[in-house]
Amino acid sequence: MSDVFKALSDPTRREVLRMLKSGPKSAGELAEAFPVSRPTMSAHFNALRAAGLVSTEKAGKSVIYHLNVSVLEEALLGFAGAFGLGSRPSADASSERKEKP
Amino acid sequence: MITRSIRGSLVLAAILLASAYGLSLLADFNWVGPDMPDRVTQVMIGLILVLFGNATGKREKDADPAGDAKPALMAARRFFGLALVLGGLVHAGAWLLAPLDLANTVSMAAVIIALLAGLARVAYAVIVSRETPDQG
Repeated sequence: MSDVFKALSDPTRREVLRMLKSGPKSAGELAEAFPVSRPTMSAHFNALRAAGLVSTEKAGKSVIYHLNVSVLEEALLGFAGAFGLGSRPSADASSERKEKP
Repeated sequence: MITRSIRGSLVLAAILLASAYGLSLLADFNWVGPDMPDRVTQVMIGLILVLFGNATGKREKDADPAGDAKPALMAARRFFGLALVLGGLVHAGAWLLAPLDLANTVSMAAVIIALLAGLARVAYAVIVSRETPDQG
């Protein structure tokens, strides 16, 4: 459960989950929506996968992410967003932030 | 072949039956109150409903292995899970706290309303997704 709280504490990861509510998306599609480097995005995906909040499948060369949240986890996602938990990006994300072209 | 989920369900059913029978025996010997078997069994049923409702969204990939289901349908599935969780919580809470007559009525009403709301949401999503085939 601590993995879930850790995953939901970052606004980027919460935004990824919100994007997945509108259907499965590839890693590339998700990464394009954020002004962060690929390795940082990969770390975010790993955190979400470790918490079991997303499931993945390979489709050719790309990885497709599916939303995989329970009712409780979705409620926690809503609460974390409403109260702005971790509204400052996590240290691992901020260290690798880059300008979006 | 018995899958993990079927095994889990069978174990839950066995626990439910065993506890109901055990509590009935205890009530026969006046070791617990006469309404205790009903209350405990119904609270467990409510909690099982919560458990299954909570896990509904966790099996999204199983429900849509190809990933081509309309997002509205998957959202409806998650709503159905939420409705089951709320219905189960009210069911369990009513049997835990309310007088027996009231608990019976409230818990039945809560579960029926939850099922109807969930089914209505799914039906709406199916109708909308058929009318708008290209827009998810």
